Amino acid sequence: MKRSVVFTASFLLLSLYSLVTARAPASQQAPTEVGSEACKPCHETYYTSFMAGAHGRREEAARNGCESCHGPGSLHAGASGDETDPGFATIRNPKKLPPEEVASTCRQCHSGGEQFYWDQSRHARERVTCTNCHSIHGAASAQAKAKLLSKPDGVQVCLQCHRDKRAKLARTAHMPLREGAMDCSDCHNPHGTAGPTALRAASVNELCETCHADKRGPFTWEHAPVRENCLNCHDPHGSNNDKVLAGKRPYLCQRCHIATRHPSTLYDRPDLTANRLLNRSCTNCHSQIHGSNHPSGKTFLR
Amino acid sequence: MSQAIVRTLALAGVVALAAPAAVRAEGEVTFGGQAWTQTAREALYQQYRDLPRGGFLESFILREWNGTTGVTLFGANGLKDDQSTSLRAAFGSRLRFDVDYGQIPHLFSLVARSPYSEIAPGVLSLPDTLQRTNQENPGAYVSTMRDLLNSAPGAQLDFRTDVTTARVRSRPAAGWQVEARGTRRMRSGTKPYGMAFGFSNVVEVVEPIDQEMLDGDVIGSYEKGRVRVQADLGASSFENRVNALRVDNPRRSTDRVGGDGPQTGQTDLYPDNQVMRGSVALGLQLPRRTAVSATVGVSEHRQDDDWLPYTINTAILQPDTFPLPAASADAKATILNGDLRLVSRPVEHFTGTLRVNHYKYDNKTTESTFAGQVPIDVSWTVGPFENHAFGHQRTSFGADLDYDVGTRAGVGVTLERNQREHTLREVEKDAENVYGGRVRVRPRDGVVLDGSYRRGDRKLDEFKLEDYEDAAGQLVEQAGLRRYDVADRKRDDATVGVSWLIGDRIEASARYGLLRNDYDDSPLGLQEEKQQTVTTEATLAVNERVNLSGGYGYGLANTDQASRESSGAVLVQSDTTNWGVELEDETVFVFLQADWQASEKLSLSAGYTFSRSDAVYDLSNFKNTAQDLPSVFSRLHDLHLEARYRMMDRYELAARYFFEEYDVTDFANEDVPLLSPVTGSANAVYLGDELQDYRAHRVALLATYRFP
Repeated sequence: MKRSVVFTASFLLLSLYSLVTARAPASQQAPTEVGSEACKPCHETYYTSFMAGAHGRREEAARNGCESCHGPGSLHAGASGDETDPGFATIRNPKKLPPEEVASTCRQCHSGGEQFYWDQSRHARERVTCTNCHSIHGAASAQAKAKLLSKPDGVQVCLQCHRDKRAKLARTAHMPLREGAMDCSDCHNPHGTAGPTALRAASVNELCETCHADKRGPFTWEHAPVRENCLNCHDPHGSNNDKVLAGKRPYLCQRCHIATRHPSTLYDRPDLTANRLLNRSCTNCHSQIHGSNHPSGKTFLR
Repeated sequence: MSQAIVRTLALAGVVALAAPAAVRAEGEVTFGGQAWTQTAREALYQQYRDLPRGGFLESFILREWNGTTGVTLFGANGLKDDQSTSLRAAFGSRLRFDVDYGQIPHLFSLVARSPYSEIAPGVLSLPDTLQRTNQENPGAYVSTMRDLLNSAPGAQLDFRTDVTTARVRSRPAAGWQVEARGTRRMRSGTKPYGMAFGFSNVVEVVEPIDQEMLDGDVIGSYEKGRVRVQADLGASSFENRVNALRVDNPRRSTDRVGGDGPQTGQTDLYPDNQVMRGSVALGLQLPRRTAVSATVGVSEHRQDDDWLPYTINTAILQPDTFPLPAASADAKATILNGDLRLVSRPVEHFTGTLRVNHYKYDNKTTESTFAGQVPIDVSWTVGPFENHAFGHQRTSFGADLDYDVGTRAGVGVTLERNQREHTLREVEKDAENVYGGRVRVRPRDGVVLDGSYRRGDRKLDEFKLEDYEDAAGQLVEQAGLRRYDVADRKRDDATVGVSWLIGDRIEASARYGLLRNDYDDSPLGLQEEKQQTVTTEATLAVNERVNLSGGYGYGLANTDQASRESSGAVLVQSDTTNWGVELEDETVFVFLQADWQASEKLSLSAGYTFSRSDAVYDLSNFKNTAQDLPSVFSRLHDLHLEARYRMMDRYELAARYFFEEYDVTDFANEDVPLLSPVTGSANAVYLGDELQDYRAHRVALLATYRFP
């Protein structure tokens, strides 16, 4: 009896020891890469959309697949879905990572070009990260596929946070963002730039003149505030005034021009049919308000 | 249209040629038919889009790939004036080729009319008999013109911009990336243009547009270890194929000096110009999680279009009598910009940023002295007049410090100094100090509160009153005027927001923003502007099949400006002619969206958007005689309903209904007559491109086919 107890106890101790020693190296060893096929059984939806997407078709990503971003998955796969298994948590889940770490994962590949200024961008400083706007496993719509956006289009992505702009875009005078012919990212690079407010140019005017090159000049006769900043008169995100102007003419012009004769005149209700109030107001005559190259264009009439 | 077809087919051909031999392919195409009605021919309904009637191709996407080589062709609104087509070809990650083609329409009016004929590009002509009749019998001008305008043909007022972009990106070796891209923007069509022959003789005409913009850039970057370098070399050109606009004066058939002016007037249209540009950027990763970027850019702008003569009015002797100072503007400017930023996270929870940004627009345009001018082709105004090469520069120094207080809160401060210089302005230097703070708190899981405040104080260095004087030293502008772009200014910019995730199903947020510019040192000019916005949004996942979302936005903008009337040639500086405008512009915005996955095959959605703006003009003057202007009001209801039914795996049918209603009251842009005023003596001929109330209904049936 005594021998059997000793034997049994010894057996159990040895078994326990073997179990402990068998598990210990497993939990301490570093996970290794096992390939994307190992992910497929549990994450088939993600696997399929990822492999069909832009990332899945890239050489580097295709080689390492899911593990390019999630890290080596041998222990995670070995846990077979058991969340209590220490190996389960060895996979990198971007949803649980600090924003900087998510960005650094993406910047293994996306560090030049559009993303050159990410570290210095305001979005990075305010702890916005890549996955706030991009859906790596698959885009929200066919149109969003090119940039793997998490919303059907770029405007919807930005409006998640910049909600005041949604109301501005609803105004009568607006640029063609509502109609889908433009995108916020046509003017701003959300990954950061060397210019102000993440503009894709060194100044507001240089940006506007990308499309409105007719206003670029330089002109013989310059309109100083126009030359300096288009935003002195326009609100590009939307306005209740014609031409996305920041105010209604003639009062917008009269904020700066109250010289002798007609510029200083108070145009009120009795003047409703005057050509300085009706239709395009001051610019009925001063058509070259952005600058003139005509020898007689000092006051932008020619 | 035929060009668009050719381009689309050409792209499809490229795809077919580029397609790998052993390929996998998938795609989707949505097409259908649509009908719509509109109660008035108001252009706003199609301002930036081309709503099809009858059959249309809404969207398509075709993808073929073999391993790491793939080609994607996708597009929308096929063969319509707002179509877009894109091609993406990737050969592994080493070579990528993108082509995009898109059309952006801009419709101004469907009801405009004009009696002018364009007999050559930019030459707008009236019948000689009309000019002769008006010259010989000026007393009958109103009746003659009214008859003519009532039978004037419709005028096309729209233009379209066709944008083609091609981009090649290559990663030839580890760390290297080279990208070349080119863009061609073609703009053609028309827009309204005002041509004056006198204070009471304004003529609005249809300006032809035929412009081409070309842009090309080559960008190279290299990265090794902690160092990144990027260089960009580019060029841009703008060509206007209609350099001048010649417009017949409806009141005259022969030239004269003074009075009704010339038989024909001429104005210059936007001159051709060119830009060369380059930039270099350096990025460094330093120890202690510190990153630095430095960028230097330079560009050279040139414009040397030949000057037109002072006037084409042959009754004014020229050019022998009044020769131009040169043949062309010889306009040029050099832009220099630089940016330096350092971001560091030396210890946990702490982020510091230092930044310097400099921008200089150095206008080197030759300053010429003109003996005089003929501003509206009517009479010679004796000079001399000298053009000014306005330039400017700004330098901004900033520091941001952010600290995470545990895991649930963060605070930050910003200090900034913005220095500006304005060449040849009444204020040549000013500087602004900005102080700001922000806080973000997460008191419990799912709840985030945040707020920020910035205070800016801009002070001008010296005000030069002589800039308000004419050549004889007489003041022509009020001494008390301070123009808001260079005036002393105190700015408050504040935001407060809350977002709340209630369980798994409800997310709500609210935000308030205030931007206030106070020009309290400006006796005349803009005194104050204030913008306040409130936005709220909420989403509710009722269950796995039903989602509801909605939002409300309210905006209120107030401006206050002070002015002074001085109707004579000599400036009167007396408080007794003071006047002012207080403007209140209120905007309301509501949106609602409901999505219901009724069954595995059927889904329904509904969306509604409402926006309303109401602007009130409160005018006042010292004599208390000012009469307020009517309010300007606009309102838009926009409703859409959609039902989608999935048939088998590959087919889907959709039915859509859209309703849109627009109401407008606008003293300037509604009821614009062709001849104005409609009673008494006319002072203007307009195109009549007025805003109109409308109601529109649109129905569409679509089918989507997916393959394989």
